[in-house]
Parts: sequence; structure tokens; C-alpha cells
Amino acid sequence: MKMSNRFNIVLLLTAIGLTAMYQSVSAHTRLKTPVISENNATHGSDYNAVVVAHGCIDAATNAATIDTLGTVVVFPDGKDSTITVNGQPYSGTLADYVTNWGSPVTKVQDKSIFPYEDYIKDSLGNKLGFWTGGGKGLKAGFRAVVPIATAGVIINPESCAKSVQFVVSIADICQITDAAGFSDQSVMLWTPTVGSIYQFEGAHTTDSPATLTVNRSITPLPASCGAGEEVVVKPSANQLNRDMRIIYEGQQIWPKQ
Amino acid sequence: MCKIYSKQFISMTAFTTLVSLASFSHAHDAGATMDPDGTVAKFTGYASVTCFDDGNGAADHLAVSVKDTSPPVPGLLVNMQVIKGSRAANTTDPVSGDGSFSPEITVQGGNGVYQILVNKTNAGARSFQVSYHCMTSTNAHTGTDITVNQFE
Repeated sequence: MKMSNRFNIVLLLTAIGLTAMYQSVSAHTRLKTPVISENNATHGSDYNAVVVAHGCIDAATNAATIDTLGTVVVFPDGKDSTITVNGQPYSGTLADYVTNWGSPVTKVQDKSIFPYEDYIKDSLGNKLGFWTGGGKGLKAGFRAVVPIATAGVIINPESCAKSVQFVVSIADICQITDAAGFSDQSVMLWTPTVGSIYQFEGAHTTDSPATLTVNRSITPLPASCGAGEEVVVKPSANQLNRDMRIIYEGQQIWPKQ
Repeated sequence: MCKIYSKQFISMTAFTTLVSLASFSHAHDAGATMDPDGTVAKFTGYASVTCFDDGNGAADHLAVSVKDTSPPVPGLLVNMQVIKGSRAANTTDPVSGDGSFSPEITVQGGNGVYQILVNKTNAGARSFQVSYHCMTSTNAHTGTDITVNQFE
């Protein structure tokens, strides 16, 4: 092989490698299907998944080469959540826009990556999220598809909502630390910046949560609504601080206490 | 750190079973205990049941019934109501602890959100089971989801 050909091959491989690395740290942990229709559930619910995009970031190389040990997923409870309508704060309740929010997620049992999992519930037993983790975890460089089902969402037919977006908070954990130990090396916090303990200055994932958007599809917009309203529901800092934890057999495993 | 994390998980033996409230909230036939201290006559369980087409067809109605599984107490019976839009229905288990459900009631409201209430006629702890099923016009079971709004 000619020297020039070898050089070209090296260049090509380098480019592929750089591209792969870039993609591995630029992809975000998201829902597999982030936009769904209103209450169109089939066979029990809308089947979906949390896609864990990459591991934590090695400080020396700035590459996502640290394995993921588990993930925690929390949906807004809709009670003390922050609501915006067309980008403006809304002081009413979520019931003005959604008639049945409260138990939004069901985990599809799957031990293929993380062998342990359980729900995060409110005081009434409604399922607001889940955690899954343990075992050998997710090897850096690979993705995880964590299967879930979301409950059918019904938009208040009298409202002007043309869509309702729920901001979903996800923590991909690479090291068990307390909140003071959160860093790009220990956890990828795909959370909204709402003042909770699940954010830190300069994070790779700053204010980059996952979302689930429900488009109005059952009832037409009332004629008086014009173009309609885009509603966004974020969890409060209080809810995240309360719910975004791994508790097992009465002991909090993460964040470490 | 990875080892510690794995060890913590591996040492887990069994998940804590959440009784009563959780089981009330996440099955189509489930139970709980109202007013466990026996002092709250107004105790009410309130939930939203969402009916949808799960592939068996669109919902035509919601059918519910309730069974009081506690020993009989004079003047203490368990009721259940279902409401959707302008339609509502009520049922009472007439004999506590006999193992039989109340007469089944239905509200015909199609797909969507039905409100269900469980309450009782006086103060006193009452263990109960509820049955709630979204049904098509041909009485096939179809998509049924529930959110608990209140249990106090």
C-alpha cells in the first residue's frame, strides 16, 4: 500500500473516531418517543423508553468513558409544579389543562442492564417515577433503552391547550456520592434548573432535561382559543429534592447521606 | 465505588410490600382500609379512572362495585359512587363481611376520565375491595388506568 493511501486511511479512522466521540458526549438522555398524542394508549399505555445516551465524563480526556451504575427518573407531580403557558407563568392548577395527571409512568420490568428497580411513589401510591440500577451497569460507549409505559393523558377539553409538555428529570449515576459530590464525573443530571440539589454550576447537562409532550388530539380547540396555548409543566425544587432518590429497604442509597 | 454500589443492590433481598393504599391504587380489583383509627366518619377515597381503547375497542362505560370485608357493625356500611360529566351512580355493600360485592353500577361516558369515590356511613375502620373496569359496548374489558387523588 502506498504511503499516501495509508495516510488517508489514518485520517479517515481519526475522523470516524472523533465523530464517534463527539456523538457519544453530545447525545442527551431522553425519552425514545418524546411526543405522543392525547390518551391514544394501546394495550394498556403508551410504550416508550428512557434512552441513556452516554456515561459520565472523564475529567482528563473530556470523553464520556465512565460507566453508568443506574438511573433515576422523575415526572412532575402536577401539584406543586411550575406551569407556564406560552412561556408565561400560570398561577392556576394543572387540572385546568389536564384532567387525569397523577400516576404517569409504569416501569416495564427489565433486568437486562440493571438488575434492580423500583418505583418512586407519592403519599397516595401514585407512580411518579422509578429508579433502576446495580449489577455491572451500563458500559461507557453503549446506550441503554430502559422500557416504560406512560399513562394516557387527557387534555381538559374546555382549555385552550394545544399541547402540554411535561419536563422529566433524569439522573444517570456513575458514582455514589452525596449532593456535594455531584460532578460530570459522578452523575449526568438531565434535570431542569429549578433550584433543587440536582444541579451544579458548569455541568455538562445544565438545564437539559428530557420532555414528554402530549399533543391535543381528542377534542378540537374551542373557537375562542385562536392558535391555542403551549403548556409546560416543570417539577418544583421541593419535589425533586423529595422524590429524586434511591431508597431501598428504608435506606437511602443515592444521593449518599 | 462501582463495587459498593453493586454490593448495596445485591444485598437487597425483597422489596417492601406496600399494602392497602398502594394496592388500592394500582389494580382493577384491589383493597385498602379506610379510617384505620375509626374516628373519621367523613373519610373518603377519591380517584380518577381513565378509560381508553387498549386494542379491545373504545370504552362505552365504567363498571364498579365495592365489597366491605370488615365484620358487620350496625349502621356502618361502605358506599361507592362513580361520576362522569352529568351522569353519576351510587352503590352500597348491604352486608359487611359476607364476601360478596355490592350490586355493580355503571356510568356510560365513553373514553375519558371518570371520578370514583369510596366512603362510609359512620366513623369506623372499614377494609374494602373495589372493582373498576372500563368496558366496551359489547362488554369487553378495555383500557383502564387509575390515579388516586385523596385517601383521608
